[in-house]
Amino acid sequence: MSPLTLESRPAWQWWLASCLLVAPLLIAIGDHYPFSPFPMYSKFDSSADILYVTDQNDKPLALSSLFGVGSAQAKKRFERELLDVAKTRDYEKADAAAVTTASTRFLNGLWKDRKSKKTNALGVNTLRLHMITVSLSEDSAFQRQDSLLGEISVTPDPQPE
Amino acid sequence: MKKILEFLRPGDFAWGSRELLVMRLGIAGLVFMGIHWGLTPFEPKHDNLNGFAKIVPLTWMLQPGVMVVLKILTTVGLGLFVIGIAPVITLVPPLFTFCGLGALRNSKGDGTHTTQVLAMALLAVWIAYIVGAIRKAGWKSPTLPQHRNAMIAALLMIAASYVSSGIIKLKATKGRWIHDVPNMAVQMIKSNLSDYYSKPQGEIPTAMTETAPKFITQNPNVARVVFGTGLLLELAAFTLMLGRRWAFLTGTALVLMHAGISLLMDIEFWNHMGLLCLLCIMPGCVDVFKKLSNSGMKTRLGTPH
Repeated sequence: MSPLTLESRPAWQWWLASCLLVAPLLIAIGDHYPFSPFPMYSKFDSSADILYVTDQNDKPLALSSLFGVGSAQAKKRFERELLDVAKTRDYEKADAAAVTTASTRFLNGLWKDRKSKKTNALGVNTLRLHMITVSLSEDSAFQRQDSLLGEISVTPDPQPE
Repeated sequence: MKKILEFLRPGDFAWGSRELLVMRLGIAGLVFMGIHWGLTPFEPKHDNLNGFAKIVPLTWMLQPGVMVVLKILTTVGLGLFVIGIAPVITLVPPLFTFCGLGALRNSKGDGTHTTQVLAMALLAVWIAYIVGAIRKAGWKSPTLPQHRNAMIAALLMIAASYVSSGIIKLKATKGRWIHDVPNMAVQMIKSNLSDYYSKPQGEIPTAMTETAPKFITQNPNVARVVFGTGLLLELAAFTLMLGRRWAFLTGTALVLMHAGISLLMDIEFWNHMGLLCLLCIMPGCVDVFKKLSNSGMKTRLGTPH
């Protein structure tokens, strides 16, 4: 008797296997690396937040090249700090003191990851955390609100002689 | 009609050894590039640990010296996997490094889903080789069917990930996902502004932060048809498993879907697209090339004048 290899099964068994076993299994496991049911854009809120960081002159800083993290990932980091401090990921639901503490923690963490040559070249001595909230109103018009959540003073690295 | 039905009849994958070699080489390249080598040391709080990092203590991986060793072991492991030497063993360092650094990155709060499909596919490949070895088909130098089963397992994981993503959309919106699609305009603005603020240069581009979102809200049904097609495609991704022709057709459609989303939302899908190109489109192109060269041969040898 020849061994029953996976491939010798009829094709319909494959889609049954993938749909009936693995796909629901991924949903059951949830988002635990390496597994994921890929929940991105699974529902659409009518508002969204975008994080950015500026220097002392309110000039937006390039998060990717200066700190090695994109805006979307940085927002997740900030939300994690906020969750830790205020038990919510929504800065609008947290009290002002908690938002300030989470912002300070986040900005200090960001500064730790800096590419110091680049931040030195730009003369950065302050980091300000901003959040833009974009929302869609009933009459399908977009509204944009910009909030300053916190700021820290930073000391540039000493320049080599 | 008969020809179309015949063409669409589910078949097998029948990947040859050269195709499988290209697949392994491509996957190895994607894995090496997908590992978060630049992750810096941090002290995660236990509550924030994610997935694999919750089960195994992993922060030691972030020490610079350790990272160099992991890089060497991963490179050697991937090289041996490509040439087909003992993948049950040689895939362990790349798989451990990939999942470890990926889980740590998610634990840091930087989570993205861009590498998870590749991590799951690699895990499936490894498990398929283990299953092959347990069946005493040999583990040192896997046979062609073992290599084939490993790639089928990767494709199975990819197909399942699309289907699960489609199901979760329906679940989260109680079946109203397509109805809610016009709200995607807000997500489009978010995605494009996030990308702008990651590397700000010049003025904020208005095409994808104003013009396109406005078009979506003004033409909601057009948006529902376009994005609804994407959802149906995800739910129908199990057709990837119906043989190389279906894999080619569905894989091409999924790559086009990703290209469209990348254009609109400024999101990268290199791993998804790379895997689909390797496992679905490349074999399809081989078929087309063979068919063309066969018909060319027939024409040259063809009927006498």
